[in-house]
Amino acid sequence: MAEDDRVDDTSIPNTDRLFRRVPVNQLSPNDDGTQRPSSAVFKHLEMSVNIESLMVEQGRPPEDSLTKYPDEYLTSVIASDVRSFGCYPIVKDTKPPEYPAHGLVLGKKKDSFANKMGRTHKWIVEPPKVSAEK
Amino acid sequence: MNSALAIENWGATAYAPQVRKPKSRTVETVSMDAFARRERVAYSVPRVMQISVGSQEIKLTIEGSTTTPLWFQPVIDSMSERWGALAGWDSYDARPTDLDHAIKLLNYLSQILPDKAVAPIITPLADGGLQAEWHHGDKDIEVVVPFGEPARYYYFDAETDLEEEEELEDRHIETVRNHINSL
Repeated sequence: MAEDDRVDDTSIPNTDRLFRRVPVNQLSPNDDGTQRPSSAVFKHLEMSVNIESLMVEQGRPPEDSLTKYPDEYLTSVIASDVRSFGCYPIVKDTKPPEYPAHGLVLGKKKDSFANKMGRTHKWIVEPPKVSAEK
Repeated sequence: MNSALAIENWGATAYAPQVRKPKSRTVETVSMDAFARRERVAYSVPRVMQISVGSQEIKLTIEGSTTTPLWFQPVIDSMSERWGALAGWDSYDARPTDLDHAIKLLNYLSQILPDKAVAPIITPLADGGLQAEWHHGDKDIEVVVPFGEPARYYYFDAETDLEEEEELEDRHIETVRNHINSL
């Protein structure tokens, strides 16, 4: 298999939020009944995201990422948090015309990376609380 | 105490590396409702049961044990409820959850977990694998069975900042068990 030679796109600001949909079966309950995205959300080899600065240019709110997926939730991680690991390039991937703000976080993800994203993420569209039980 | 469980595909291909063939077996079909009862069921001989997981069937063998571990039914429930049935189940390009990897995870859990352990939640991975995860207080623990790769475990304690991330080998079983017991 050919090595992936794509490099980090520095035109994507460090402060950009990267938006990622979260399906119901990848939510994990916290002790207080709130829910977090499972680390599994952030382990995809080519993790699809929507890039904040592109969505702003296009006049689209983050929630637009859920237009076709009303049963899912939306979270965000910060580009600088991704880059702090030094091995996961963020690239634009806007070829599909229906996804003009689409980007990818590349590379085989370590569990430590995925869990850190799960701990530092911020909900844009948050799932409801569940009954807390141990 | 650990119950001796062995989980296989109900079909012809068995995938459980640590399966020990029972000397004798009683085969019965057990519905999910029967397992959902709160009562503990006592067994005196090895028993083989057929259980539905995500619309597929697995074979559970209980031997050398008198009870079904408390974590087992919640794990089966979680696995079934969260199963990624169709390609693209995550609204991206996830592969369907793979039964053999589910069985592999169940067998790891049967090795690791004491009978009264806190049950993990089971989450499908986009590659067709699965992971078991516990999040309590400052601690995160995962047993990860990715598709076509060795299993791993992950541990993080935010209070001490201790973080471990390793391939899950036999020498790690007790370590992971101790982490889970500390929840």
